Amino acid sequence: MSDIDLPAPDVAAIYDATGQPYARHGLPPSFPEHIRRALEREIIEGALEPGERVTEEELAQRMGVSRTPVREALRALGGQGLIERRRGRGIAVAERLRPDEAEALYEVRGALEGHLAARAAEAMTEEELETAARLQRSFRRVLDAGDPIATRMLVTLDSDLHWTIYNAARSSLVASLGSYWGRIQRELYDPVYRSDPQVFAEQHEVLIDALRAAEPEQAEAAMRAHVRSGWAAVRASLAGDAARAGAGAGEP
Amino acid sequence: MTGAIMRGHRLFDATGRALPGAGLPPALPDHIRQGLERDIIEGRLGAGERVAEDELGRRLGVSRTPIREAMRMLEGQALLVRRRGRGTTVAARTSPEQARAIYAVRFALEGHLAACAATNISRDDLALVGRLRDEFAQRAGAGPAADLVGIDSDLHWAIYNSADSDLVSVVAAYWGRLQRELYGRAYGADGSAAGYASQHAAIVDALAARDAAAAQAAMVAHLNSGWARVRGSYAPELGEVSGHGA
Repeated sequence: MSDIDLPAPDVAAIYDATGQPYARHGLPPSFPEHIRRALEREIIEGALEPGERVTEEELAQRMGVSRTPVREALRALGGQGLIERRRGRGIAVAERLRPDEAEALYEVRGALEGHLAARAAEAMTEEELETAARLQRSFRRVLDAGDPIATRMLVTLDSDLHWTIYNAARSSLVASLGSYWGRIQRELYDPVYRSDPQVFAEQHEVLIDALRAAEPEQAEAAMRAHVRSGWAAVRASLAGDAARAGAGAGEP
Repeated sequence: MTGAIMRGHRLFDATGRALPGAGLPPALPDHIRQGLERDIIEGRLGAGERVAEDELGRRLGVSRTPIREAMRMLEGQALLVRRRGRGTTVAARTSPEQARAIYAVRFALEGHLAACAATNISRDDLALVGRLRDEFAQRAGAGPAADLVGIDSDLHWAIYNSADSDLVSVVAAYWGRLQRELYGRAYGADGSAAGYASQHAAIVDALAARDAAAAQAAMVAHLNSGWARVRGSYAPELGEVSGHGA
Protein backbone atom coordinates (compact mmCIF):
# COMPACT_ATOMS: atom_id res chain seq x y z
CA MET A 1 0.00 0.00 0.00
CA SER A 2 3.01 2.28 0.34
CA ASP A 3 3.45 3.10 -3.33
CA ILE A 4 -0.10 4.24 -3.98
CA ASP A 5 -1.93 7.14 -2.40
CA LEU A 6 -4.53 5.20 -0.48
CA PRO A 7 -5.01 6.59 2.98
CA ALA A 8 -4.66 4.23 5.92
CA PRO A 9 -8.07 2.71 6.61
CA ASP A 10 -8.28 3.78 10.25
CA VAL A 11 -7.29 7.46 10.13
CA ALA A 12 -7.89 8.47 6.56
CA ALA A 13 -9.65 11.75 6.97
CA ILE A 14 -8.10 15.12 6.15
CA TYR A 15 -11.11 17.18 7.23
CA ASP A 16 -13.58 16.82 10.07
CA ALA A 17 -17.33 17.32 9.53
CA THR A 18 -17.03 21.09 9.91
CA GLY A 19 -14.36 21.28 7.18
CA GLN A 20 -11.48 21.94 9.56
CA PRO A 21 -8.26 20.06 8.77
CA TYR A 22 -7.57 17.44 11.44
CA ALA A 23 -3.93 18.43 11.78
CA ARG A 24 -3.41 22.12 11.28
CA HIS A 25 0.31 22.32 10.58
CA GLY A 26 1.11 19.85 13.30
CA LEU A 27 -0.64 21.73 16.08
CA PRO A 28 -2.92 19.58 18.19
CA PRO A 29 -6.51 20.83 18.41
CA SER A 30 -7.71 22.52 21.57
CA PHE A 31 -9.05 20.25 24.27
CA PRO A 32 -12.80 20.84 23.66
CA GLU A 33 -12.17 20.54 19.93
CA HIS A 34 -10.45 17.21 20.42
CA ILE A 35 -13.47 15.94 22.38
CA ARG A 36 -15.90 17.35 19.83
CA ARG A 37 -14.17 15.49 17.02
CA ALA A 38 -14.12 12.22 18.93
CA LEU A 39 -17.86 12.49 19.63
CA GLU A 40 -18.54 13.59 16.05
CA ARG A 41 -16.93 10.39 14.77
CA GLU A 42 -18.84 8.25 17.24
CA ILE A 43 -22.13 9.79 16.14
CA ILE A 44 -21.40 9.59 12.41
CA GLU A 45 -20.19 6.00 12.65
CA GLY A 46 -23.07 4.94 14.88
CA ALA A 47 -21.16 4.07 18.06
CA LEU A 48 -23.45 6.66 19.63
CA GLU A 49 -26.87 5.87 18.23
CA PRO A 50 -29.68 8.16 17.06
CA GLY A 51 -31.81 9.19 20.04
CA GLU A 52 -29.31 7.89 22.60
CA ARG A 53 -29.27 9.97 25.79
CA VAL A 54 -25.93 11.37 26.89
CA THR A 55 -24.88 13.33 29.96
CA GLU A 56 -21.93 15.61 30.54
CA GLU A 57 -20.88 13.58 33.60
CA GLU A 58 -20.90 10.26 31.84
CA LEU A 59 -18.98 11.54 28.81
CA ALA A 60 -16.46 13.36 31.01
CA GLN A 61 -15.90 10.21 33.02
CA ARG A 62 -15.53 8.01 29.96
CA MET A 63 -13.03 10.36 28.33
CA GLY A 64 -11.21 11.12 31.56
CA VAL A 65 -11.70 14.88 31.41
CA SER A 66 -13.58 17.55 33.35
CA ARG A 67 -17.12 18.65 32.43
CA THR A 68 -16.12 22.08 31.10
CA PRO A 69 -14.56 20.93 27.79
CA VAL A 70 -17.33 18.34 27.38
CA ARG A 71 -19.95 21.08 27.77
CA GLU A 72 -18.24 23.20 25.13
CA ALA A 73 -17.92 20.22 22.79
CA LEU A 74 -21.63 19.40 23.18
CA ARG A 75 -22.58 23.00 22.45
CA ALA A 76 -20.54 22.88 19.24
CA LEU A 77 -22.12 19.54 18.28
CA GLY A 78 -25.52 21.19 18.78
CA GLY A 79 -24.52 23.74 16.14
CA GLN A 80 -23.80 20.82 13.81
CA GLY A 81 -27.25 19.38 14.44
CA LEU A 82 -25.70 16.18 15.86
CA ILE A 83 -26.88 16.73 19.43
CA GLU A 84 -30.32 17.84 20.55
CA ARG A 85 -31.12 19.66 23.74
CA ARG A 86 -34.73 19.33 24.73
CA ARG A 87 -36.14 21.28 27.61
CA GLY A 88 -36.62 18.95 30.56
CA ARG A 89 -35.45 15.95 28.58
CA GLY A 90 -31.70 16.42 28.72
CA ILE A 91 -29.31 15.88 25.84
CA ALA A 92 -29.61 13.21 23.17
CA VAL A 93 -27.93 12.23 19.93
CA ALA A 94 -29.99 13.63 17.06
CA GLU A 95 -32.47 11.25 15.47
CA ARG A 96 -31.96 10.18 11.87
CA LEU A 97 -33.22 12.70 9.33
CA ARG A 98 -36.92 12.50 8.55
CA PRO A 99 -37.48 12.02 4.81
CA ASP A 100 -39.15 15.45 4.42
CA GLU A 101 -36.22 17.06 6.26
CA ALA A 102 -33.69 15.20 4.15
CA GLU A 103 -35.45 16.41 1.01
CA ALA A 104 -35.29 20.04 2.16
CA LEU A 105 -31.65 19.56 3.14
CA TYR A 106 -30.75 18.20 -0.29
CA GLU A 107 -32.34 21.26 -1.89
CA VAL A 108 -30.16 23.34 0.40
CA ARG A 109 -27.13 21.29 -0.63
CA GLY A 110 -27.77 21.86 -4.31
CA ALA A 111 -28.01 25.62 -3.84
CA LEU A 112 -25.12 26.04 -1.43
CA GLU A 113 -22.65 23.46 -2.69
CA GLY A 114 -23.39 24.40 -6.29
CA HIS A 115 -22.48 27.98 -5.40
CA LEU A 116 -19.28 26.89 -3.65
CA ALA A 117 -18.24 24.74 -6.61
CA ALA A 118 -18.64 27.75 -8.90
CA ARG A 119 -16.50 29.92 -6.61
CA ALA A 120 -13.92 27.12 -6.33
CA ALA A 121 -13.66 27.04 -10.12
CA GLU A 122 -12.54 30.66 -9.93
CA ALA A 123 -10.30 30.47 -6.89
CA MET A 124 -8.80 26.97 -6.69
CA THR A 125 -4.99 26.69 -6.69
CA GLU A 126 -2.98 24.09 -8.62
CA GLU A 127 -2.12 22.41 -5.34
CA GLU A 128 -5.77 22.15 -4.31
CA LEU A 129 -6.70 20.78 -7.73
CA GLU A 130 -4.00 18.15 -7.38
CA THR A 131 -5.30 17.20 -3.90
CA ALA A 132 -8.82 16.81 -5.31
CA ALA A 133 -7.55 14.72 -8.20
CA ARG A 134 -5.50 12.53 -5.85
CA LEU A 135 -8.50 11.93 -3.60
CA GLN A 136 -10.55 11.01 -6.62
CA ARG A 137 -7.89 8.52 -7.80
CA SER A 138 -8.00 6.94 -4.35
CA PHE A 139 -11.81 6.85 -4.49
CA ARG A 140 -11.56 4.94 -7.79
CA ARG A 141 -8.97 2.50 -6.47
CA VAL A 142 -10.97 1.68 -3.36
CA LEU A 143 -14.02 1.21 -5.52
CA ASP A 144 -12.23 -1.10 -7.93
CA ALA A 145 -10.64 -3.10 -5.11
CA GLY A 146 -14.10 -3.95 -3.73
CA ASP A 147 -12.67 -4.18 -0.24
CA PRO A 148 -14.92 -4.96 2.74
CA ILE A 149 -13.85 -1.71 4.45
CA ALA A 150 -14.72 0.14 1.28
CA THR A 151 -17.82 1.95 2.54
CA ARG A 152 -16.00 3.65 5.35
CA MET A 153 -13.11 4.67 3.14
CA LEU A 154 -15.34 5.85 0.33
CA VAL A 155 -17.38 8.08 2.63
CA THR A 156 -14.18 9.53 4.08
CA LEU A 157 -12.56 10.10 0.69
CA ASP A 158 -15.77 11.62 -0.64
CA SER A 159 -16.02 13.99 2.34
CA ASP A 160 -12.38 15.05 1.96
CA LEU A 161 -12.82 15.61 -1.76
CA HIS A 162 -15.89 17.79 -1.19
CA TRP A 163 -14.21 19.81 1.56
CA THR A 164 -11.08 20.30 -0.55
CA ILE A 165 -13.34 21.94 -3.14
CA TYR A 166 -15.47 23.93 -0.68
CA ASN A 167 -12.49 25.25 1.27
CA ALA A 168 -10.93 26.24 -2.05
CA ALA A 169 -13.96 28.47 -2.68
CA ARG A 170 -12.67 30.77 0.07
CA SER A 171 -16.21 31.68 1.05
CA SER A 172 -17.57 32.36 4.51
CA LEU A 173 -20.63 30.30 3.55
CA VAL A 174 -18.76 27.11 4.43
CA ALA A 175 -19.95 27.78 7.99
CA SER A 176 -23.47 26.92 6.82
CA LEU A 177 -22.15 23.67 5.41
CA GLY A 178 -20.65 22.79 8.78
CA SER A 179 -24.13 23.07 10.29
CA TYR A 180 -25.36 20.01 8.36
CA TRP A 181 -22.38 18.08 7.00
CA GLY A 182 -22.15 15.76 10.00
CA ARG A 183 -25.85 14.87 9.63
CA ILE A 184 -25.36 14.04 5.98
CA GLN A 185 -22.25 11.99 6.70
CA ARG A 186 -24.16 9.88 9.15
CA GLU A 187 -26.87 9.18 6.57
CA LEU A 188 -24.24 8.35 3.94
CA TYR A 189 -22.21 6.21 6.24
CA ASP A 190 -24.38 3.23 5.83
CA PRO A 191 -26.50 3.25 2.72
CA VAL A 192 -25.34 5.26 -0.23
CA TYR A 193 -22.30 3.45 -1.44
CA ARG A 194 -24.18 0.24 -1.54
CA SER A 195 -26.28 1.69 -4.33
CA ASP A 196 -23.97 2.81 -7.11
CA PRO A 197 -20.71 4.52 -6.16
CA GLN A 198 -19.54 4.10 -9.76
CA VAL A 199 -21.91 6.93 -10.72
CA PHE A 200 -20.45 9.15 -7.99
CA ALA A 201 -16.93 8.44 -9.20
CA GLU A 202 -17.87 9.49 -12.72
CA GLN A 203 -19.57 12.63 -11.42
CA HIS A 204 -16.49 13.55 -9.37
CA GLU A 205 -14.42 13.31 -12.54
CA VAL A 206 -16.75 15.60 -14.49
CA LEU A 207 -16.67 18.03 -11.58
CA ILE A 208 -12.86 18.05 -11.35
CA ASP A 209 -12.62 18.61 -15.11
CA ALA A 210 -14.84 21.69 -14.78
CA LEU A 211 -12.76 22.98 -11.86
CA ARG A 212 -9.54 22.44 -13.80
CA ALA A 213 -11.03 24.28 -16.78
CA ALA A 214 -11.96 27.13 -14.38
CA GLU A 215 -15.56 27.05 -15.65
CA PRO A 216 -17.83 28.23 -12.78
CA GLU A 217 -21.12 27.45 -14.51
CA GLN A 218 -20.04 23.94 -15.50
CA ALA A 219 -18.69 23.29 -12.02
CA GLU A 220 -21.96 24.43 -10.45
CA ALA A 221 -24.02 22.26 -12.83
CA ALA A 222 -21.78 19.25 -12.15
CA MET A 223 -22.08 19.70 -8.40
CA ARG A 224 -25.85 20.10 -8.56
CA ALA A 225 -26.16 16.92 -10.65
CA HIS A 226 -23.94 15.06 -8.17
CA VAL A 227 -26.06 16.24 -5.22
CA ARG A 228 -29.25 15.18 -7.04
CA SER A 229 -27.86 11.64 -7.40
CA GLY A 230 -26.95 11.66 -3.73
CA TRP A 231 -30.52 12.57 -2.85
CA ALA A 232 -31.89 9.71 -4.95
CA ALA A 233 -29.69 7.27 -3.02
CA VAL A 234 -30.50 8.71 0.40
CA ARG A 235 -34.23 8.81 -0.39
CA ALA A 236 -34.16 5.14 -1.32
CA SER A 237 -32.28 4.33 1.87
CA LEU A 238 -34.66 6.31 4.10
CA ALA A 239 -37.67 4.70 2.41
CA GLY A 240 -36.19 1.23 3.02
CA ASP A 241 -35.49 2.18 6.61
CA ALA A 242 -39.04 3.41 7.17
CA ALA A 243 -40.42 0.21 5.64
CA ARG A 244 -38.26 -1.94 7.94
CA ALA A 245 -39.21 0.09 11.00
CA GLY A 246 -42.89 -0.10 10.01
CA ALA A 247 -42.75 -3.87 9.51
CA GLY A 248 -40.75 -4.46 12.70
CA ALA A 249 -42.30 -2.26 15.33
CA GLY A 250 -45.66 -1.34 13.85
CA GLU A 251 -44.86 2.35 14.12
CA PRO A 252 -47.78 4.69 13.52
CA MET B 1 -42.12 33.68 25.80
CA THR B 2 -45.77 34.64 25.76
CA GLY B 3 -45.35 37.74 27.93
CA ALA B 4 -45.82 41.27 26.72
CA ILE B 5 -43.44 42.34 23.99
CA MET B 6 -41.71 45.44 25.20
CA ARG B 7 -40.53 48.10 22.84
CA GLY B 8 -36.97 47.38 21.85
CA HIS B 9 -36.88 44.05 23.67
CA ARG B 10 -35.82 41.25 21.39
CA LEU B 11 -37.06 37.70 21.90
CA PHE B 12 -34.51 35.65 19.95
CA ASP B 13 -30.83 36.01 19.12
CA ALA B 14 -29.46 35.31 15.62
CA THR B 15 -29.21 31.58 16.34
CA GLY B 16 -32.87 31.40 17.33
CA ARG B 17 -32.16 31.02 21.02
CA ALA B 18 -34.54 32.82 23.38
CA LEU B 19 -32.91 35.93 24.82
CA PRO B 20 -33.10 36.37 28.58
CA GLY B 21 -36.39 37.89 29.58
CA ALA B 22 -38.03 36.62 32.71
CA GLY B 23 -36.15 33.32 32.54
CA LEU B 24 -32.66 32.18 33.48
CA PRO B 25 -29.67 34.18 32.27
CA PRO B 26 -27.62 32.38 29.64
CA ALA B 27 -24.27 30.76 30.34
CA LEU B 28 -21.37 33.23 30.28
CA PRO B 29 -19.99 32.27 26.84
CA ASP B 30 -23.47 32.63 25.35
CA HIS B 31 -24.00 35.95 27.06
CA ILE B 32 -20.73 37.22 25.57
CA ARG B 33 -21.59 35.76 22.17
CA GLN B 34 -24.99 37.45 22.13
CA GLY B 35 -23.43 40.82 22.93
CA LEU B 36 -20.79 40.51 20.22
CA GLU B 37 -23.40 39.24 17.76
CA ARG B 38 -25.44 42.42 18.24
CA ASP B 39 -22.32 44.58 17.92
CA ILE B 40 -21.49 42.95 14.60
CA ILE B 41 -25.05 42.93 13.18
CA GLU B 42 -25.63 46.56 14.12
CA GLY B 43 -22.24 47.64 12.80
CA ARG B 44 -20.53 48.76 16.00
CA LEU B 45 -17.92 46.16 15.10
CA GLY B 46 -17.26 46.80 11.42
CA ALA B 47 -16.40 44.31 8.68
CA GLY B 48 -12.70 43.49 8.75
CA GLU B 49 -12.17 44.87 12.26
CA ARG B 50 -9.82 42.83 14.44
CA VAL B 51 -11.19 41.14 17.54
CA ALA B 52 -8.63 40.08 20.14
CA GLU B 53 -9.36 37.70 23.02
CA ASP B 54 -7.20 39.49 25.58
CA GLU B 55 -8.57 42.93 24.79
CA LEU B 56 -12.17 41.69 24.95
CA GLY B 57 -11.44 39.92 28.21
CA ARG B 58 -10.13 43.15 29.73
CA ARG B 59 -13.04 45.20 28.42
CA LEU B 60 -15.67 42.77 29.70
CA GLY B 61 -13.81 41.86 32.87
CA VAL B 62 -13.91 38.10 32.27
CA SER B 63 -11.31 35.41 31.66
CA ARG B 64 -10.24 34.37 28.17
CA THR B 65 -11.87 30.94 28.34
CA PRO B 66 -15.51 32.07 27.85
CA ILE B 67 -14.33 34.69 25.34
CA ARG B 68 -12.61 32.01 23.29
CA GLU B 69 -15.72 29.84 23.32
CA ALA B 70 -17.93 32.77 22.32
CA MET B 71 -15.58 33.62 19.46
CA ARG B 72 -15.58 30.04 18.24
CA MET B 73 -19.37 30.05 18.14
CA LEU B 74 -19.34 33.32 16.22
CA GLU B 75 -17.05 31.67 13.68
CA GLY B 76 -19.73 28.99 13.34
CA GLN B 77 -22.17 31.79 12.50
CA ALA B 78 -19.69 33.14 9.92
CA LEU B 79 -19.65 36.48 11.76
CA LEU B 80 -15.98 36.11 12.71
CA VAL B 81 -13.20 34.72 10.58
CA ARG B 82 -9.98 33.30 11.96
CA ARG B 83 -6.96 33.24 9.70
CA ARG B 84 -3.60 31.73 10.36
CA GLY B 85 -1.12 34.38 11.42
CA ARG B 86 -3.65 37.19 11.03
CA GLY B 87 -5.80 36.69 14.08
CA THR B 88 -9.57 36.95 14.15
CA THR B 89 -11.52 39.60 12.29
CA VAL B 90 -15.16 40.49 11.72
CA ALA B 91 -16.33 38.78 8.51
CA ALA B 92 -16.26 40.77 5.30
CA ARG B 93 -19.55 42.03 3.86
CA THR B 94 -21.64 39.37 2.14
CA SER B 95 -20.93 39.46 -1.59
CA PRO B 96 -23.85 39.61 -4.06
CA GLU B 97 -23.12 36.03 -5.14
CA GLN B 98 -23.14 34.83 -1.53
CA ALA B 99 -26.41 36.68 -0.97
CA ARG B 100 -27.89 34.93 -4.00
CA ALA B 101 -26.80 31.54 -2.62
CA ILE B 102 -28.16 32.34 0.85
CA TYR B 103 -31.53 33.26 -0.66
CA ALA B 104 -31.61 30.04 -2.70
CA VAL B 105 -31.03 28.20 0.57
CA ARG B 106 -33.70 30.27 2.32
CA PHE B 107 -36.37 29.42 -0.26
CA ALA B 108 -35.79 25.69 0.25
CA LEU B 109 -35.20 25.67 3.97
CA GLU B 110 -37.46 28.35 5.40
CA GLY B 111 -40.26 27.30 3.07
CA HIS B 112 -39.93 23.81 4.51
CA LEU B 113 -39.88 25.13 8.08
CA ALA B 114 -43.04 27.16 7.49
CA ALA B 115 -44.76 24.02 6.23
CA CYS B 116 -43.64 22.08 9.34
CA ALA B 117 -44.78 24.93 11.58
CA ALA B 118 -48.27 24.82 10.06
CA THR B 119 -48.53 21.27 11.35
CA ASN B 120 -46.73 21.63 14.67
CA ILE B 121 -47.13 25.16 16.02
CA SER B 122 -48.76 25.44 19.47
CA ARG B 123 -51.62 27.84 20.19
CA ASP B 124 -49.33 29.93 22.40
CA ASP B 125 -46.72 30.26 19.70
CA LEU B 126 -49.37 31.05 17.12
CA ALA B 127 -50.60 33.84 19.38
CA LEU B 128 -47.01 35.09 19.74
CA VAL B 129 -46.50 35.13 15.97
CA GLY B 130 -49.80 37.01 15.61
CA ARG B 131 -48.64 39.67 18.07
CA LEU B 132 -45.33 40.07 16.25
CA ARG B 133 -47.24 40.41 12.96
CA ASP B 134 -49.34 43.19 14.49
CA GLU B 135 -46.38 44.97 16.02
CA PHE B 136 -44.47 44.87 12.73
CA ALA B 137 -47.51 46.25 10.87
CA GLN B 138 -48.04 49.04 13.38
CA ARG B 139 -44.48 50.23 13.12
CA ALA B 140 -44.05 49.62 9.41
CA GLY B 141 -44.97 53.20 8.58
CA ALA B 142 -43.23 54.97 11.40
CA GLY B 143 -40.51 53.18 13.34
CA PRO B 144 -36.79 53.26 12.74
CA ALA B 145 -35.52 50.57 10.39
CA ALA B 146 -33.51 48.77 13.05
CA ASP B 147 -36.63 48.08 15.09
CA LEU B 148 -38.37 46.47 12.15
CA VAL B 149 -35.45 44.17 11.38
CA GLY B 150 -35.54 42.99 14.98
CA ILE B 151 -39.28 42.35 15.01
CA ASP B 152 -39.06 40.57 11.67
CA SER B 153 -36.26 38.35 12.99
CA ASP B 154 -38.31 37.47 16.09
CA LEU B 155 -41.35 36.66 13.96
CA HIS B 156 -39.37 34.32 11.72
CA TRP B 157 -37.71 32.56 14.67
CA ALA B 158 -41.01 32.19 16.50
CA ILE B 159 -42.23 30.28 13.43
CA TYR B 160 -39.06 28.22 12.83
CA ASN B 161 -38.67 27.25 16.48
CA SER B 162 -42.21 25.89 16.47
CA ALA B 163 -41.57 23.78 13.34
CA ASP B 164 -40.17 20.89 15.41
CA SER B 165 -37.43 20.49 12.82
CA ASP B 166 -33.79 19.45 13.15
CA LEU B 167 -32.80 21.85 10.41
CA VAL B 168 -32.94 25.06 12.46
CA SER B 169 -29.18 24.74 13.07
CA VAL B 170 -28.72 25.39 9.36
CA VAL B 171 -30.74 28.62 9.61
CA ALA B 172 -28.70 29.63 12.67
CA ALA B 173 -25.50 29.28 10.64
CA TYR B 174 -26.45 32.09 8.23
CA TRP B 175 -29.02 34.18 10.10
CA GLY B 176 -26.51 36.54 11.69
CA ARG B 177 -24.92 37.27 8.31
CA LEU B 178 -28.30 37.91 6.82
CA GLN B 179 -29.34 40.18 9.68
CA ARG B 180 -26.25 42.28 9.21
CA GLU B 181 -27.04 42.79 5.52
CA LEU B 182 -30.69 43.51 6.24
CA TYR B 183 -29.87 45.88 9.05
CA GLY B 184 -28.98 48.69 6.74
CA ARG B 185 -30.67 47.63 3.55
CA ALA B 186 -34.00 45.92 3.76
CA TYR B 187 -36.24 48.80 4.76
CA GLY B 188 -35.96 52.27 3.42
CA ALA B 189 -38.38 55.13 3.30
CA ASP B 190 -40.06 53.62 0.25
CA GLY B 191 -42.97 51.88 1.94
CA SER B 192 -41.64 48.34 1.26
CA ALA B 193 -42.27 47.45 4.90
CA ALA B 194 -46.02 47.67 4.29
CA GLY B 195 -45.62 44.90 1.70
CA TYR B 196 -43.77 42.74 4.21
CA ALA B 197 -46.50 43.38 6.77
CA SER B 198 -49.19 42.01 4.47
CA GLN B 199 -46.96 39.02 3.58
CA HIS B 200 -46.53 38.27 7.28
CA ALA B 201 -50.31 38.35 7.62
CA ALA B 202 -50.64 35.78 4.80
CA ILE B 203 -48.10 33.49 6.50
CA VAL B 204 -49.86 33.73 9.87
CA ASP B 205 -53.25 33.05 8.25
CA ALA B 206 -51.87 29.88 6.66
CA LEU B 207 -50.37 28.76 9.97
CA ALA B 208 -53.66 29.40 11.76
CA ALA B 209 -55.45 27.37 9.08
CA ARG B 210 -52.90 24.54 9.56
CA ASP B 211 -52.34 24.62 5.81
CA ALA B 212 -48.74 23.45 5.22
CA ALA B 213 -48.71 24.05 1.46
CA ALA B 214 -50.14 27.56 1.84
CA ALA B 215 -47.68 28.39 4.63
CA GLN B 216 -44.77 27.26 2.49
CA ALA B 217 -46.02 29.24 -0.52
CA ALA B 218 -46.60 32.36 1.59
CA MET B 219 -43.13 32.12 3.10
CA VAL B 220 -41.47 31.66 -0.29
CA ALA B 221 -43.41 34.64 -1.69
CA HIS B 222 -42.28 36.71 1.29
CA LEU B 223 -38.63 35.69 0.81
CA ASN B 224 -38.86 36.40 -2.91
CA SER B 225 -39.93 39.90 -2.14
CA GLY B 226 -37.05 40.27 0.32
CA TRP B 227 -34.59 38.94 -2.23
CA ALA B 228 -35.81 41.39 -4.89
CA ARG B 229 -35.05 44.20 -2.49
CA VAL B 230 -31.66 42.88 -1.37
CA ARG B 231 -30.69 42.20 -4.97
CA GLY B 232 -31.72 45.73 -5.88
CA SER B 233 -29.49 47.12 -3.16
CA TYR B 234 -26.57 45.24 -4.72
CA ALA B 235 -27.46 46.36 -8.24
CA PRO B 236 -24.26 48.29 -9.06
CA GLU B 237 -22.09 45.42 -7.79
CA LEU B 238 -24.20 42.80 -9.58
CA GLY B 239 -23.53 44.71 -12.79
CA GLU B 240 -19.82 44.22 -12.24
CA VAL B 241 -20.23 40.58 -11.31
CA SER B 242 -22.28 39.63 -14.34
CA GLY B 243 -19.38 40.99 -16.40
CA HIS B 244 -17.51 38.03 -14.85
CA GLY B 245 -14.55 37.53 -12.56
CA ALA B 246 -14.37 38.98 -9.02
